[in-house]
Amino acid sequence: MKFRSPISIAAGVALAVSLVGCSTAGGPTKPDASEGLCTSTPVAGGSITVAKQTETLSLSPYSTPGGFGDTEALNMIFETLIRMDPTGNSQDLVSGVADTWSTSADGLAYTFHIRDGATFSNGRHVMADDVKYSLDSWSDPDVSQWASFARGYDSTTVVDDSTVKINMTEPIGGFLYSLAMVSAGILPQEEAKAAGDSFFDSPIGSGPFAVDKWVKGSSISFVKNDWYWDTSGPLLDSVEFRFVSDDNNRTLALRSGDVQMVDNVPWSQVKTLQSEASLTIEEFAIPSWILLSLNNQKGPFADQNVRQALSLAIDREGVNEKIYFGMGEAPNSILPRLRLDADASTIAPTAFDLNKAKELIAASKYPNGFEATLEYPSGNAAFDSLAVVLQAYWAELGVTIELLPEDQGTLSKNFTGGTYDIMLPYSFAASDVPVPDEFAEFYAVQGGTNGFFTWWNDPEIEALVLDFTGTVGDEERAAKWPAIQAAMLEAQPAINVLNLPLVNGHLNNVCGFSTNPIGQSTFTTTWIAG
Amino acid sequence: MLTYLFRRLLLSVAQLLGLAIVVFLILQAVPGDPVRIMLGERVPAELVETVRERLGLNEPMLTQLWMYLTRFATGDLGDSVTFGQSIQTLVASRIEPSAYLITYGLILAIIFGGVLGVFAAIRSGTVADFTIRILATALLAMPAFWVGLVLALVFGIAWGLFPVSGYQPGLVGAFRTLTLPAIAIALSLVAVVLRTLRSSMKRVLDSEYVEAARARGYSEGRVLARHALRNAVTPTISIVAVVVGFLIGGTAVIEQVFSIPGLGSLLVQAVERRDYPVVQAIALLAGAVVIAAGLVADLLQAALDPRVRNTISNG
Repeated sequence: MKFRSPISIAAGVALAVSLVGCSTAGGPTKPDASEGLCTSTPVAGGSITVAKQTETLSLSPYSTPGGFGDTEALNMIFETLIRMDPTGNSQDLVSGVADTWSTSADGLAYTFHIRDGATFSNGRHVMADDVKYSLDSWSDPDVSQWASFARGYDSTTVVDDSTVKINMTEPIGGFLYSLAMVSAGILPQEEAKAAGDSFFDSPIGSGPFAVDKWVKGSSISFVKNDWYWDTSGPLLDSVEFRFVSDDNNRTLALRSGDVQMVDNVPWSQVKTLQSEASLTIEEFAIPSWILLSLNNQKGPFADQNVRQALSLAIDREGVNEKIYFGMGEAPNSILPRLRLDADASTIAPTAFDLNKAKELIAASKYPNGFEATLEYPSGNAAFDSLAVVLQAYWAELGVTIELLPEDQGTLSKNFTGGTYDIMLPYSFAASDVPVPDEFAEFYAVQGGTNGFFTWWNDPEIEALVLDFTGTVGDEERAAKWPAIQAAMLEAQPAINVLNLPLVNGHLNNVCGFSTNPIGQSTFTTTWIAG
Repeated sequence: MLTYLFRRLLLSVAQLLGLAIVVFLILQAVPGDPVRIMLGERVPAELVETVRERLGLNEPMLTQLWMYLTRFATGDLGDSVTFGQSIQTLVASRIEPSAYLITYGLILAIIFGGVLGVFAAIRSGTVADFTIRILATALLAMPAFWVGLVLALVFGIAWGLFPVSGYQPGLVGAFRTLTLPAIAIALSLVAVVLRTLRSSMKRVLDSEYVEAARARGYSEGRVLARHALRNAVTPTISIVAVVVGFLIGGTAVIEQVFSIPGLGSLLVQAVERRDYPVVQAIALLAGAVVIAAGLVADLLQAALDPRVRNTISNG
C-alpha cells in the first residue's frame, strides 16, 4: 500500500496534536477537468489502485467462492488458449496462449498451436503438457466446480511440444467460449503439482500480471509479468485491487483520491460522480440484465398469460429514466444482449402496454388478480425503488404484491429451493460468456438448474436449444438462434426488466481502460497520463 | 480471593457454553445454505450435495451440535467453509486491526468522557455542564455508521487528512487508517462514560468526606484526584466493562464501513455467507473478551475499593 501524499501525512499528525481541524491542509492532488489528458501517446510505467466491490476469496480457477472477485483477479494471472476480445470492441475470440487454432469439420476436434512467446511468470515456456494438465483438471468434476462448462470435452492429445488436439465426445457450439473462460486458464504443470494446494496461495500463470501481495480481506496487488508475450502491454508496472464492499465508501475513496478507479458505481450515485470535474464515468456494454424470476410451478405463474401481462405492465422507459439514468436498454429477449441476437427491428422489445396486459389477465385463470410476494436484495437503493415501482405497475392488473427485501443467503436458498413467487435474485446478474448457450441451456434444458429455478419447461423449445448448442459454426448458429430468442420471449418463463451496462468511475488521468465482452479487464492497455 | 476467582472462572465457562449453544441454534434458524452461496446457482445440484456431505452439513442437527462442542472443547476451531482456511489462521490474520481499533476507541472514549465528565461535575448546573451533556446525548443518538461516513466526508474528502478506507499494518499505518473509525465508535461511548462519571462524581463531591478533605486545607486538585475521583470511578469501571461488549459489536459495522480487514468485517462476511464455523468462533471469542473484561473490572474495583475487596474475600 502507498501513502496518498506526504502532505496528508503531515496534516494527519498536525490534526492529532491540535485535535482541532484546520482547513489549510487542502485536499489531495487530483487531476483537474482539463480535457484530452488521454489524447497524447500512451506512456509505460506507473501503478493504479482500484476499489472493488467484491473481495477475492480464492486464486484457484477451479473454485471461485468469491464470484467476480475471484474471476477478475484470476484473469490478471492466468491466460487461456484463446480469449474474449480484451478491448471489448467485438464479441469475437482472439488469440491467447495459442496463436492459431482450427476446428474439425464435424466439430469433434480442435487443434491449437501454442505461441512461441507464451511464458509463465517464472520464465518457463508454456508447453503442450501444461495445456493438457490444465484442461484435464478444468473438466474433472472432482477438481473443478466449473467442470459442467466443459461438457463435450473428452481428452487432450499432445501432438508435439507446441501443439495440442482437443477431442470431443459431441460437438458443442459454445465450446470455444468455455475455453476462453478463466477457469480453463493454463497452469504450469510441474510447479502446480509440486506445490499442491498451496500453489493457489500465490499461483504462477502466463497472464499479463503476476501476484505480488495478497492481504486476505483487504487487497491484492499484481506486478507486470515481464515475460508476457505481448510487447505492447501491459503498460502499468503494477495494479492493486482494494476490497471496498460498501457502496458509499467505494465512491468516497475515489473522490478523495485514495484510489484511482472504482468498479460498479452504485446507480444512486452516478449523477453525483458525473458532476465531479476530476472524474470520468464510463459505461461498458456487457451481457448484464435485471433478471426478474417467476416461479412457473406456482399458481398464477404457471399461466403464460399472467407472465406476459406482468412483463407488458412494466413501463421500462420510466424505470430506465428514473432509476437507471437512461443507461439501460429495453430488451427484446428474456436473456441479456448476446452475440447472435436478432436486433430490435426483427424482434421488437416488449412495449409498455397496460391495456393488452389487462386483456391477458382477464383471459387468464386469474381475471380478478391475485396476491404474491416479490423478494429482492436488501440494502440496494436502486432495487428498493424498482420493487416499489413494480408493485405499483402490477397493482393496475389487480395484482397485490408484498415486498420482501432479503439478504443474499436467504434469496439464494429460496431461489434454488423454489419457495418464492417472484424474485430479483441478484444485485448484479451477468452471463459468463457473450454467447446465448449458457443461459439458453439453463432455462430450456431440463436437469441441472430446473429452468434456472423457474421450473419452466417447453419440450419444443428444449429441442431447438439442444440443436442450437450442438451446432458448430457461427453462420449456422446465427441462423438458428433468433427463432429461439423469440420463442423464449413469447413463453416468458422469466422477465428481463432492462439490459444494463457495467459502470466504472476513474480519475481523468486514467486512460485506455477497457474490458472484454463480459466486463473483465486485464489492464493491458491502461496507462496513466502526465 | 482465590475461591472467588475460581468460582468466577467456572461461571465464565458455563456462560461460554450457553453462548455457544445459543449461537448454534440461531444459525440453524437462519435460512440459507453455505454451500450454495459458495458454489453459486450455476453449478449442478449433485455437486452441491457432494460438498454438503463432505462438510458434514447433512448430519442431523444434534450430531452437528455435538461435533461442534467437542471440537471447541479440544481447542480445534475447524475450517472455514468460504475461505478454505483453518479458522485459527483466519482469526489470527484478522485480529490485529480489531484489537487496535477497540483499544484506540476505548482510550479516546475514556479520555474525552473522563475529562468532560469531571469538568461537567465540577461545573455542575452551569451552561458548560448543560452544553456538554446535550452534545454527548446528541452524539449517542447518532448511528455510528452515519457518523463514520460524515467523518470520512469531512476529514477524508474535504480536508484530505486521513484515508477513507482500508488498513495499513504497524503502529503508524494503524494510526493513519484507524483514527476516523476509532473516533466514530468513541463518540457514541463518550456520552456513556461522561454521564456515569459526572453523576457519581457529583454525588462524591457533595459528600462529607470531601468536605472534610477541603476543610483540612488540601488543594482542590488533590481533593479531586485523591479523594473524589478515586471513589467516583468505580461505577464507571463497571460501565466501561459493559461498553467493551458494545465496542466489539460496533466494530462489525464500522469495520465494514471503512473496509478494515478485522474480525468485525469478517463476522459480517461470515454471516452473509452462512459460514457457520467462522460465525461461531468469532461469537465465542467476543463472548470470552466480554467475560474477561467483566472479570478485570471486578478485580480493578477490588483494588480501588476496600469495601468491594472485603465482600469478595468473605463471599
